[in-house]
Amino acid sequence: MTLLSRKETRITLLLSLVLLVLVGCDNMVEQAKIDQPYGESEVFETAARDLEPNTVPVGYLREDEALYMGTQDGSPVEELPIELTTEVFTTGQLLYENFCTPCHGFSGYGNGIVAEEGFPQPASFHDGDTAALSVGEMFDVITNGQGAMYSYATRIQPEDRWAIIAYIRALQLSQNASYDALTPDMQAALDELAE
Amino acid sequence: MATFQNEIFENKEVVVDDNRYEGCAFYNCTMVYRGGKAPEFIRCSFRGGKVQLEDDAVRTPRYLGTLYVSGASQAVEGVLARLKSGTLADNQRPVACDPVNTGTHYGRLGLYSAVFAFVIFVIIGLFWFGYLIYPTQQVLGGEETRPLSEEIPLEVMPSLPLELQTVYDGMTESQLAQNDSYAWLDADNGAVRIPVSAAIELLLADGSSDEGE
Repeated sequence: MTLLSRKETRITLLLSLVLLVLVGCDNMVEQAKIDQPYGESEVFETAARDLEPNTVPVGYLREDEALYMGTQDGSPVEELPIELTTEVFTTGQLLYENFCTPCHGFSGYGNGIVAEEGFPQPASFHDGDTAALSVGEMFDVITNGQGAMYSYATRIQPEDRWAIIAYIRALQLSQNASYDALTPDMQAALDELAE
Repeated sequence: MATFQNEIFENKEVVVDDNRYEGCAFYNCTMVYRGGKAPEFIRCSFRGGKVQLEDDAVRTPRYLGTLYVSGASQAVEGVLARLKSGTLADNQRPVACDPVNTGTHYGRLGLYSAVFAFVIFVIIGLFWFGYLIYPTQQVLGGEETRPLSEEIPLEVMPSLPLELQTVYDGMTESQLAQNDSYAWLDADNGAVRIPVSAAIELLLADGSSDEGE
């Protein structure tokens, strides 16, 4: 003789299912939390365990020293560690105009809008020590900042920093090119001006 | 086993165990049964009197009474019905009853009540804490969510002063023109200015970024 009939068993199971569904309506706000990640823990010394030495987050393994550090054996690289393509220059121009022009200006002479408002005028890319910087040294300045310029490491990814540097190289060439190195079409355009 | 024939019992206490009565009359007698072999009454008559159970015979009615008050009233009624109709044979086992129809089942009623009360309690609790109304209100401490675009009205968005805007526009225009034009910088040394697009073209053709230095 059973305690519940078949119909009653069905009703009880249905009610239990409803309860389970209702209990499933959890809210992350109400979940147990650790107030202090580095506070004392009953299981471990601290609630958040220390990372093992040399731990690298997924996707952050950056073994390419030239690409991610701008150096080779500790010395700044002289050549761009990325392949130059039209897309690289397009990206570099977009990012340069977004991030760099307020200070450095569209042409890279250090005559951005902030200089008009009294901010110390940054160096020009076209003369002085800045013009002589290697690409590795430029990468270091963008990554770590220099003088009044702050670090852009968290704002611009390494590959994009190299794209900006490539565009700066184009700017430098644009503002100080050698007539002999130009293509015939470009020389013709200049010849027209000379006439 | 004693056999009584054509006797009249009047105002007596008669112990009937194991006895057989034929053609007897019982007037205002107390019929005592003590659980022995069931007596037989053949062509007997009764008037008044009462039934008295003693010793082992008490167990069966006590068992039936316990069953009756415990919820198996219908089963006991069935036994009584068969008893009255004379169909209750010796050693006859009553037919098993459907548990649903055995009367009030307080244990099951309690279980249902508990489950129902718990469900109601949970639902009321969920409403009370707002889970079934606006979960986001719970997250944001009661504040209604607003679209991001409404958080900063456009009229208070920072903008350049009109004068500075004019300067900026003019600066942008001149610098972009400088980036997109040919010019002689030093004709004697062959130093020239070329559009950035042309410089990019040269760099792509050369495949090296250090060419411009």
